[in-house]
This record gives sequence, structure tokens and C-alpha cells, in this order.
Amino acid sequence: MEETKADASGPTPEFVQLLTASQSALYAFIVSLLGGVNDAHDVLQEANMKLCRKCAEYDPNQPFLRWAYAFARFEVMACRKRGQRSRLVLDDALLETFAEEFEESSDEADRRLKVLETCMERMTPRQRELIAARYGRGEAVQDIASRLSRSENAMAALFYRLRKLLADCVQSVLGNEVRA
Amino acid sequence: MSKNSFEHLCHAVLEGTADEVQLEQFRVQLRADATQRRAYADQALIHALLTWQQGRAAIPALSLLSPTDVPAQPKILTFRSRMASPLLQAALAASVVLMAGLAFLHFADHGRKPDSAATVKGVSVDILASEGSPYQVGERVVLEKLRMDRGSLRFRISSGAVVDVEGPVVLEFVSPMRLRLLLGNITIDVGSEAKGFVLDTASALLMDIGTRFGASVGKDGSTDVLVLDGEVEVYRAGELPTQKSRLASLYEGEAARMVNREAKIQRLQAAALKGDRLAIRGLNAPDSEVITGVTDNIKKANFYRCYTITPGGMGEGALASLAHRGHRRICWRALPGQLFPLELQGADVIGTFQGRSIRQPLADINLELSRPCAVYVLFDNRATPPEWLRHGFRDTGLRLRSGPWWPDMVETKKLTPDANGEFHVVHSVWRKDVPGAAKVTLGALILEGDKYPYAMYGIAVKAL
Repeated sequence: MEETKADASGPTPEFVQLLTASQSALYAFIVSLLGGVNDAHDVLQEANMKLCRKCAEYDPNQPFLRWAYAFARFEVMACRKRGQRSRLVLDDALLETFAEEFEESSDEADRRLKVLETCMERMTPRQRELIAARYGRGEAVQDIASRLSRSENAMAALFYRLRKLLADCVQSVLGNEVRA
Repeated sequence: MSKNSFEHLCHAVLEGTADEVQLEQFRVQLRADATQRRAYADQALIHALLTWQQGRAAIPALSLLSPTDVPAQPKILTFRSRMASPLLQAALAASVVLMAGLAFLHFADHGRKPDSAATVKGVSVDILASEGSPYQVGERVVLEKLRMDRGSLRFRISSGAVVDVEGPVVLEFVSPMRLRLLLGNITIDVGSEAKGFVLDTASALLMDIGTRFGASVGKDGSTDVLVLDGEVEVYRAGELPTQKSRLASLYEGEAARMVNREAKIQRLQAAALKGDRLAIRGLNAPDSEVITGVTDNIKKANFYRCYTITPGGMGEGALASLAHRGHRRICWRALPGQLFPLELQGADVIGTFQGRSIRQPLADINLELSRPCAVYVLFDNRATPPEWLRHGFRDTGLRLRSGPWWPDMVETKKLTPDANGEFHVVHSVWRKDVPGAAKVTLGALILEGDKYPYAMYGIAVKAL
């Protein structure tokens, strides 16, 4: 993906709207390929820049996210090559596999965040409080474990189960929407 | 869960705590098993969406606005001052409403001193004051996250903003123009260079248009904000700051609460201030030993005026009122040539507000008091004391001044300036002793039918 001069007319309002509406999906894609949220902002920022520069190449008849994922994927690869990140979670082959699987399921990606909110409403207050502590207030899992007098391992397992619960719920709701 | 089970490895990877051996084990398992690949994809997806949804993953708006400014190779983020490119201008022209909020962020970066090229990992701050914190005054440190259980800290960020925090507090440094408050109290003075400064919380995005505001995030994730000077725009958390996501514009003396990112913005009726400096003391739990709550019966849409409580703060220069949109403070002073009345010195002072809303005949103020105390009402000496004051309180004979007012206010009509050219209103001091925990209702400022625009009365409370 070579650098080209920006289109002089710049992104249209429609393009900016598509881009802003896709931010959470792009972020999730990047986090999955990076193996965590560290550096995901930087990569998203770079991807956004490239997308704006290439906006003239976007065909409105094609799914926006699938097109945008290609740029995000490129930025993840570039990030890895820069060697800024000493911790590479996925090797190149695994990254390819995940990127392809992600891209295949891009149709409903921009709906996931909304559905996630619905799924969170179905959780118990205690489950929601744990999510709020970890993700809302940014408490470290070990701090939450210590506060609740639980082992860190037990808390890690609990968070794994909570995320699985939410993933199953999101998949189920989206599946029902498609069938309906 | 055994230490190296897939669940444990997956969790460690996402939390960024996996070591090299664990990472290799993780990759081996992913390569071998499609089910585990699926499981990892689900975990990473939900991890990312939760991080995003809970407001901890702000969109780097600058990138959307300056696509042509990408240097050929750097791949590192700098805070260099940049002029808007033709592409940006065109984009802005084409989508003003959608991108208005982004533009704020972008323009906020202009005119700032360039930092040395560096990845956005941590923000350089100069420590200006420190009490019980691990940092020394005069020290320059790079902070990514600040977690303090106790003590206080004042520092200046490279953007020019001066920040006060008091433990317990958890604060993340996203950029010189953006902080994320996870827990505790913060006061930010953005000065003239850092207009557009953003404070993220789980339940709101606060953008300081200038110049000073306080915010507090409680353990339940709710956010309180009080504007001490200038203007702050409140946006829905986790969304771009656009016209659509804007919840309110707050001016000095106004305060609001966001319980969570979905909830409606609410008026916050009372907030506590520090006495020595105009900084918040803790919006969630006003730290007065006597006053546990201040409310009124004003019901108006988009009304956010707030009572301030300064524990032990009564004395010469104590805050009487934050002037709305006036960039001025009205303070309590002794009469010329007199000492400040000893009886009032050190009382908790409640800052009230001026304006038409509070002058309506039916406006009541309720004080929740937790122990025996004396309640003082500092009443505009020009007005006729209403019945609730004459019958429930006694005139102590003490007199105070409020000011300086400025000549174009309705409250100062018919006043003459003093020797310094300043306008002051004289207040009579009325007292009522409350024998124990009680709710005390103070009535309207003026009598029904009386249209004269007097200054709003002040309130002080002193434990007996």
C-alpha cells in the first residue's frame, strides 16, 4: 500500500460518517491482531490517516468495513515491522488467519457495540460491577482480586467467563437478527 | 484454572502480562486448535469492545482531521503545531456538524510548543506542589498513569494546563491535551494555551473551553463536574465530541452529574470547594462536618447553577458567589475600617448564586444539617427582611459587605462606588441556632410583588 498524494477534495461528509461509525469495529480488529489494547490507539490513528488520504479510492457500493480492515491490517503489520513492540503475540501466519476470519465476519461488525450494550443489560449487577471496575475505572485485575479477597487466577478465570458470556450473547443476538 | 491453561494464557495475553514462554505456548495452542483460535477471537473482540464502550479508548480525532500531515516515515505521534491542510479545510467545509467536535480537538493543538518527537507514551509534567506524594517540587517526570491513595499533587502539563489532584485518585495521561480520570477528584486550569483540553471519564467527555473546572469520579463511575471559571462542554462518553453528542455547555458556577454514559445529565445542586484555593474538595462527598446537603426547589430545564460549600472557609475574601459568565467572583469582606466579625470567622460558607431564578418569590433553599449549629443568613441590607427571616432568625447587628460587584449588574443599581471605585452591597447578619440534626428551609429573597433586584443572601453555618 504505497503513499499517494491526498485527494484534493478531501473526505466527504458521508465518508467521515462511515469512518466514525466504524471506529469501534476497527479498534476491535486492531486489538485482536495486536493481541491487546496496548498500541491499538496508535495503530488506529495511523489507519484513520491512511483511510482519509485514500478516501477517493473507496467505492461506496462496497462494504466500507471490509475496505477499511485492509488498511488497519496493513498498519498492524507496519507496527510490528517498526519493532516498537517487543511483544509480538501472533506470528505472521496466525495474523493472516485471524485477519481473514475477521474480515469475513465484517457484515455485522458495526452492530456489535450496540448489541454488546444489550447483552450487558442481561448480566447480573455483580457481573456488571466487575466489568465496570475493570473496563470503566481501569482497575487492574489483581487489584480487583485483592479487593474481593479472591486469588488473581480465580479472577482471571472469572473475567474469561464474563467475556465468553458476552461473546455468546452478541453472537446469538446477531444470529437472531439475521434469521429474523 | 492451571497456570498455563488456555484461559489463563489468553487472559495474560490480553492483559499484556504474558511472558515470552507463555506467548510461545499460546501461539502453539492457537496453531493447533481451531476451537481455541475461535475462543481467542471472541475474547479479544469483547475485550476491545468493552474497553471502547466504557470510554477508555478514545478516538484519536486528530488523525481524522489531518490526513495530509502524515509524515512519510515517522510512524510516531508528535504534538507538533500544524496548520490545517487544504484537505482538512475541505473536509470541514463539507461536514461542519459532524466534525465540529473534532475540530475543537484539532485546533486545540495549534499554537502549542512542539514536543520532541516521541511516541505518545506518557506525558511530561512539572511538579509544582506535592504533599504526601512520591514526587518532589521542581521535578520533571513523565507520567502514564498516576495512582495516589493519599496526599495531593499539583503539576503543570507540557500543554500549559495546571492540574490539582488529591488522593485517592487514579488518572491516566493520554496526551498533553487529554487526561482520563478513573477515580477521584481533579481540578484543571487550562490557562490560555490549552483551550480544548479534554478530560475523559467513564460517563462523560469534558472539554474545557477555558479556563478552570473541577471534576470528580466516584467508585460507581459517575462523574460530577463544576465549572469554576469560563466554560466547559459536556459530551456523552465514548463518542466523538459533536453537536449530536453534546449534553450541555456549563459556565462558571454551574455543575452537573452524569451517572453513566447512557443517563441524562442532571443538575448537581451542591459542590464542596477548598478554602485556600478555588479547587474542588470532593463533589461526591462534600467534606463539611455540619452541612450534609444543600438543595432548592428550582425546576427549570437546562438549569445547572450550583451552591458551593467551603468548609471552614468564612473570613475576609471568602467566596460568596461565582458570577455566571462574568469571570468574576463575589467575596465577603468586612466593612471598611472594621475587622471581619469573629463570630463568623471559620464557619462553613455556602456560596449562593445571583440572577432571576433565585429571585423568584417561591425559591426555597434547604439545608441538611448533621449537628447543633448556628445558621447565618447574610441579607442585603437594602431589602425588607421577609417574614421567614424576621420570625425564624435574629439580627445579630453584625454587618458585612459582598463584592466587588460591577456597575452593569441589576443588583448594583442605585449603588455608589466606594473610594476605590468598587461597588459593594452591605449585608445584615441574621442568626438561628439549630439544636441538632435538622433540615432548615430558607425562604425567598424577596417578598411577593417586590421587583427590586437585590443581591442574593449568603449563608454560613458554624458548629456549636
